[in-house]
Amino acid sequence: MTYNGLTDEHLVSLALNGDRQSFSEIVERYRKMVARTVKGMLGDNVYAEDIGQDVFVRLYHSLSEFRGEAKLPTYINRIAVNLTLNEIKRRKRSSGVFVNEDQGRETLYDMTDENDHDRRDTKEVIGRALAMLEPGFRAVVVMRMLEGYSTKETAEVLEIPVGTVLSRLSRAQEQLRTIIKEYR
Amino acid sequence: MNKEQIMRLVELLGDDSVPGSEDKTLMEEIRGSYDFEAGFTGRVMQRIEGMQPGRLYEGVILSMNSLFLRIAVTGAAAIVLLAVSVFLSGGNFSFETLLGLGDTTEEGMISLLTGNY
Repeated sequence: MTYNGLTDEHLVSLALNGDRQSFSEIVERYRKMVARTVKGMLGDNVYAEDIGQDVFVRLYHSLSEFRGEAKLPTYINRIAVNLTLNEIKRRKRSSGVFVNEDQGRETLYDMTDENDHDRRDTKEVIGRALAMLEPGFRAVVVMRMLEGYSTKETAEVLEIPVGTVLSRLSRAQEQLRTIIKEYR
Repeated sequence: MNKEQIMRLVELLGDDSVPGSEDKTLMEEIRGSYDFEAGFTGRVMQRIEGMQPGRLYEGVILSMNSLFLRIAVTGAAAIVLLAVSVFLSGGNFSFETLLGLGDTTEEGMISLLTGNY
């Protein structure tokens, strides 16, 4: 049986009936999406893989609660955002500060010491700029910039009003402009 | 991708309209660069398959939100403290001690229930 042509709803119902292969197809289908959310918010570090796995393990255990009111990717991304925000909070609590804004800024500047600008990893520059934003702002920017969601879809995933998304976007934009402008 | 292009991505954040082809390519370029290490799906499936009934607690704990988990841990700690306090004041763990009736005699109980003091 080939799974890649099946709809999300069909895969979910097969997975609920114990078909592991269909769940594997769901993981394969949304792996990159989860990577964008988790790595975009947490940075490309060793914890991102663990959180990524946790997202799908939690999805597996909560599939029976999935009523189809939201689309499957929205549902998965909601889990990803919540687990990542929990991890950021947990790390902030345990180490005092998870992403030190000054440290992030310093590292962003350090990267300018290299002569070959083209060699610099854009993803890393964006990641470091995002790390300087507050987690709430970061989530909104990741949904818009990396996931390509509209403002309305972003509000749906983050379960916040559209107005809040717009105000966070505007403030995040201002901060990112300053951060990137300073980057030579 | 240069600084101007990254700046362009920032500007697009506030624009909900359909992006032009150049902007679309720019967005796809950055979006496509995110992924987990090879074998991610296999590792997830291995973890799920490794969750035998005895190890299902991992899934259950993951399903609890952190607030609920915190309340549950606080509750468990309160129960332990209460049990220690009952044991220290009553000297044992009998049902009567838990109800605060450890030192009550049978006669005392009858007179208490019947109101004949």
